[in-house]
Amino acid sequence: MFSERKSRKDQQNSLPAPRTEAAAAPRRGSTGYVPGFRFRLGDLLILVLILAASGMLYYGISVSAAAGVKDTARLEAVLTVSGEEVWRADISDGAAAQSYQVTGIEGHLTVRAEAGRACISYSDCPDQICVRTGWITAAGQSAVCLPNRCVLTIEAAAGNAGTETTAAYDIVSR
Amino acid sequence: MNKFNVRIRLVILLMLTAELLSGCTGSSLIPSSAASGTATTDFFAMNTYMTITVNGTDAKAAADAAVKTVNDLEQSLSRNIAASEISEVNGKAGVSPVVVSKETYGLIKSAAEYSALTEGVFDISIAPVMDIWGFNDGNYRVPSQSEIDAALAKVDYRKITLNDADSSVYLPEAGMEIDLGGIAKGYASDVVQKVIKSYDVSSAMISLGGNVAVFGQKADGSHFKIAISDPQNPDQYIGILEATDVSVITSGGYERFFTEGGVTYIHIMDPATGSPVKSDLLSVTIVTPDGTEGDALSTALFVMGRDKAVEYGKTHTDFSFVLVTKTGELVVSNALKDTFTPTDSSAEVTYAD
Repeated sequence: MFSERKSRKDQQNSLPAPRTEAAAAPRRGSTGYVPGFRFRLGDLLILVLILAASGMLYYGISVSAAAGVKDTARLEAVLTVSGEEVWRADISDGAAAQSYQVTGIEGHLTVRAEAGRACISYSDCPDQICVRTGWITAAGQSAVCLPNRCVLTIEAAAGNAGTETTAAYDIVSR
Repeated sequence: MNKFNVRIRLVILLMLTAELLSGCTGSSLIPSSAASGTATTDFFAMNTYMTITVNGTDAKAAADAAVKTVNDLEQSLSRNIAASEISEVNGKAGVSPVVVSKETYGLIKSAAEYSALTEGVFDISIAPVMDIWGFNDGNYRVPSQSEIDAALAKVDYRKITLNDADSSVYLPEAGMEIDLGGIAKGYASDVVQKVIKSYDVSSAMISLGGNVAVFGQKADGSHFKIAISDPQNPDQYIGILEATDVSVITSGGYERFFTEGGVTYIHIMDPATGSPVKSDLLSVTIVTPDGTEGDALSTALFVMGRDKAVEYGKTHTDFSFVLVTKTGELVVSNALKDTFTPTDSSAEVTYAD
């Protein structure tokens, strides 16, 4: 998205410029840093308008970006098997409870998701570490079933790069 | 004339605007996470789930290199991969020495040194015992005493013959096996850190199956917050350590265990008995710049139990620890007094020298 905007800006810069130089060069008796150009009230008005428009654009973008990071209520539970996403559920405030069954590498497991939390509720794996992990509640947390190569994580929903965490910690030593 | 003038005006205004806009775009139009360059990757390796987050200009390349490093290490260090150097050493037990790479030799040697340092409490030749309890293949069962005795007879790190001259390793008795599982992930975290640091990056957060290593600062300049899992409630944590440039490695019986006839059998074996260790501890967390040491000592101190672990900490001062006892007491190194904050402010905390 950003690269598109940048390329447009480059076009604005590069296309008109040669014409300016070619056209302005022959003018005589000019003052200021562009020959023959004197700033008038109308110019100022246009400049202010353009700036205002760009300012609004910038404000809009920064507000929406900030909302994505700060809005902790927008959460999604994501289930992957061998790194491939197989299921995604909204667990924001008010989201309905749902469950999903998946076949992993060695067996079956069931995940549950509801407002504010998710868990691996059943697994037929021998070690049961995934089930014992219990409910996960904050972006960045995960429950992992190693034998089945399944990872259930909570992500802050779209609009956020995913690096923000609403947990009280960055990483867990276990 | 007029028309010409209008054209110039528009062109100049556009240029001015573009200039002003570019001033904006350079600094603040981009979301901050993109500007700092963050790469996060997660994957399965060494029989665990791993996550690596790198910040900095070359974050993506560094994270990719880190994943490759771990996978390469697994290929040479896993005893469950037939073509690994460790499998070759084990396969030639009682037959002949095996020449291994300098790196693998170095790790086996330091593993043997930790075995000696802890007087065999941490023993890299414990594999035959792990196997009969099913902790290698997941077929958990309680073996008979005669099975345990037979397996224990194969366990003794002191019999391993190491030859610095040709970096060869020899297991002198058939049936002996070394397993670097108790040290390889800590070692891998050290190697991975070096690899990541060789790129243009500012910080990284590494979890190799819960073995944590961090360096650098967070984007806001603060230290990383490392939670230490609560052995009694895996979705909770006993406290948070704010630190950087350290490895934080936890061992406990609370993740890998099985229950049979109402008895819980954990995956950490006592080399003295050939059975799961009966520790008065629930978990041991080691905080040290050396992940290899942290991995070995977290297991060793768990086997030692509370009092011996505290005693060991008095005479070996290059690491700090957090012990969780079965009675709920937290025993914390004095050195962590200012950086470790227990979750439960009313928890019984003892600070140790």
